[in-house]
Amino acid sequence: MKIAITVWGNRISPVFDAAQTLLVAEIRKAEIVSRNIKMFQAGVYSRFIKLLEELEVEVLICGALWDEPATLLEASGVEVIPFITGDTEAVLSFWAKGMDLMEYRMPGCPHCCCRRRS
Amino acid sequence: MRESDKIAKAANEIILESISDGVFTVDHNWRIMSFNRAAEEITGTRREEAIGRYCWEVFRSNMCEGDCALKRSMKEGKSFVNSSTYIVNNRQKRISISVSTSPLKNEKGEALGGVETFRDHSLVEELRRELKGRFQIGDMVSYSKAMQKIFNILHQVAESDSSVLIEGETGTGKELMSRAIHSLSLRKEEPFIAINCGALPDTLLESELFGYKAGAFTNAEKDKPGLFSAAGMGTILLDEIGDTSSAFQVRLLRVLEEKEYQPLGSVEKIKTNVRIIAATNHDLEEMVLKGEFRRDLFYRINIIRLHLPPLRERMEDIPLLVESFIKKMNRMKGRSVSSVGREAMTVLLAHDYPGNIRELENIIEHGFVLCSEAEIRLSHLPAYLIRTEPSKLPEHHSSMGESVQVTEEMKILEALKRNHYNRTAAAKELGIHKSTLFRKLKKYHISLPEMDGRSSRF
Repeated sequence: MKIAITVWGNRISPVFDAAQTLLVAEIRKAEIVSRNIKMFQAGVYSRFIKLLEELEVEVLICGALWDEPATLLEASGVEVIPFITGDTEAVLSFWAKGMDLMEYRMPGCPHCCCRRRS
Repeated sequence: MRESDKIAKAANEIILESISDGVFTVDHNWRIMSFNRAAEEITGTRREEAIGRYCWEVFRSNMCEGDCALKRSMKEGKSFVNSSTYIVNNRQKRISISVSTSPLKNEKGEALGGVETFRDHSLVEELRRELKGRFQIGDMVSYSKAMQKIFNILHQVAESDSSVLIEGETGTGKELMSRAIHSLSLRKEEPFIAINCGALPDTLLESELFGYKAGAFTNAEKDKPGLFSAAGMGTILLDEIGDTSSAFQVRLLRVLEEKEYQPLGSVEKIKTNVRIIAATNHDLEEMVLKGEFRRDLFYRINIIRLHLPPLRERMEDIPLLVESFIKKMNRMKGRSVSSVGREAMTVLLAHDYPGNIRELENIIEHGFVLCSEAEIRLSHLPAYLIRTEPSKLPEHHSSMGESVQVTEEMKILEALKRNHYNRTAAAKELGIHKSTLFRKLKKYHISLPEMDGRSSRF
């Protein structure tokens, strides 16, 4: 499974729209087997969705995401886990182990945002 | 702490809690130290959750990652006022805000961190949208007086259930107007079907509209219901009605009068309750006078007649239409183009749009293909606009109002030249009163030759 995270330095990018860097990691049997960095243009949602398709990304973890791009991303079939904050590596390894990202949710955000699909 | 200081501190706290601007302070490590009531409301984050967290986790502005105003303030020791940006609140809504930042210092002048105040502009945006709503019906937008007159009666027209005739040049939005009438009517839950009558020969048009029975003609192997049947209790737009044959007009008239139709090859008549909207880019009244359109059908469909003006007669709508197309294309193409640049807009305002609104929409779509930035610029416009308009292009105009004025001035000069400087004829061509023309001549300092067009006097 491939997972993408919008990153800002070693942290998750605070706002999806302003993000420019994407970390794409491949997870097999709860292990991170590869990592790739891709640059992308924030705000051009169609190109971003196409990039996710090309990279065969199934899950996107990002920071604050407003409803319009959230709907577009969901409609493309990608599982979106928004409003996540913190150290990228910590979040990635948490996710690889199959754990919820509750403790990495942004303050004030609803709990349901950061749960993975069953 | 002295008693007076205590009182001042308490007063400051009360003020901070009672104002409607969000305020928070951060330390040198970007951790939030204080967070007022309005900040809680605007961001949707409670103070207990916010304090101690990094400001970007709570504030969630599109400036955080790049051009952070607070960072600049703290670095340069200066205040920055009213930067426009947006945040994403806890309900996944984008909130437009303005931000002011200052370095935070103690009484000794030592830097403690920074303070950020922000104002929610959602209400202003909402009011702006509401105001704009007065200039919008369905997908149509307009500030023009002619269109406003139509907008004002459109609800009554829609509810009336009468046949409507829409006239207008190609690309003026006849189908959009028909859809708006349908969606405002009591039939809105029923289908809306549009057919271009001019594109089909008589027999095919009749079989499309009324359907046919098996065996009605070669290859008619089974019954096929027509569009009247598919529309049910809905609305049918008969576009380009002026291009239909006299024989078809007779058949249509009978359907409209008897409210029943006969599928091809059938002996039985079927009742129909479809609302008819007819549209044409011809002057049907003139066609009737010339004997090119049946008078009886004309009077049957001409119960309510709406005339859509061409875009060159409603140039004031161009900025609004451009904005509307940008919004639509952003939605459809998943883009975030924000506007058209000043120079590009000047070119758009100088063009005369033979293809009307459809042409303008295509120009914006062309811009979307070439533009990978936030703004559609001159280089993103189709070449024919730049090629044909350079002489009309003003050097540089700093505002939309200035660009409109330049366009107006050019139109007046052109009309005067075409009418050999006859002011009355030029005013008539421009659709304005002679006194308005004189006022505008004075305003733009247009001097006229001694020849006035009314006579051969020089």
